[in-house]
Amino acid sequence: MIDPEQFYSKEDHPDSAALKSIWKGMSSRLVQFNKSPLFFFDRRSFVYGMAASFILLFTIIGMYTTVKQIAERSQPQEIKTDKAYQTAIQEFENIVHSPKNENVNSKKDDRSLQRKTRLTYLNGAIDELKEGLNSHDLSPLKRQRLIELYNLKLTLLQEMLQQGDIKL
Amino acid sequence: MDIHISEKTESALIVRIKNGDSQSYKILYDSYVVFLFRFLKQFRKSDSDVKELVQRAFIKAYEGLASFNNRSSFKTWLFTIALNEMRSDARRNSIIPFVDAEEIDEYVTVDEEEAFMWNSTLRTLFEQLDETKRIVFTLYEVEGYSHAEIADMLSIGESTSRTILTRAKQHLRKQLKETMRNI
Repeated sequence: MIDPEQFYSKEDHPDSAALKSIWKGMSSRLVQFNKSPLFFFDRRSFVYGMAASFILLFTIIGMYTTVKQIAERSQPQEIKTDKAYQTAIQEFENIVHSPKNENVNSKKDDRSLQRKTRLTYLNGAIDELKEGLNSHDLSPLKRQRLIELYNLKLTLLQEMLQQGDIKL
Repeated sequence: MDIHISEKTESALIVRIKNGDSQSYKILYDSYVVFLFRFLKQFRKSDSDVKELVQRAFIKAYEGLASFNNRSSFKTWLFTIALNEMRSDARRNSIIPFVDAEEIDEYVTVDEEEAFMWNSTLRTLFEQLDETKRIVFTLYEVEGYSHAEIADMLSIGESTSRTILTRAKQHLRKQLKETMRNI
């Protein structure tokens, strides 16, 4: 065996500055063993985790939208019509001052009050009929009645807008 | 800077590190960094390359400490990691293969105990050996590892380790004779 002190030259040995710089470079990367994972922070893992979360979120949103679209496409025509009416009325109510919230006591005239009362009855009738129908109920008579009520409500809203009962 | 610690102290330090005392790793670092540095310096001429290798070896050793089972000493384990890192670098940079299969196809018997009187001529000749021969020679002749340990460290057979050492010695002896003749 060769004596290591004879074999290794002085140039083979690191100086103290080199030893310090090696330790300095690595000490920050030594994560404590048994450290609670709740308080453990690793920048790279954090970035990967965030990226994975976003990918997962977008995937879920994409899947939800696709499933929703497929479900909507496979719905019967009657239900699609019902939804279209509901959406139309809802959008109409959204852009005008809600007639439900109009101050009935302001009483411009009797006809205005009558229209508002009719609207209240119509809303009540729609709600009542819808309670009896679940989304898959295809009873043609009930559906027809509901469509008539929607039409009436739309016509009434239009009339109220024209007469100034409600404002844009 | 290098501290010599007993086997018992080393085991105790490892237990402490595993229990969360990462500062104890500084003691292990101080104990072995010079040994590792001067060993790796035989294979990488640039100090910054050696520093980088030493750093990687210590970090990997720390990260893998949970699986360290005291089957070998920490120093042996550290050297193994450093050699693996060196091998990965060689593969990545398409340098020569770590073990040349053509050279180890036969078992050659030469007296392994034959001592070398180390001098500057031999040092020059040693530097002309290929990397695998230098590694096995240094591990066996200088660091005092057995062929079984070298085989484990380099993931080669024990007989392969013997053969590489024999080839290295033969080469050194032959070159030494020629050099002496020329003088």
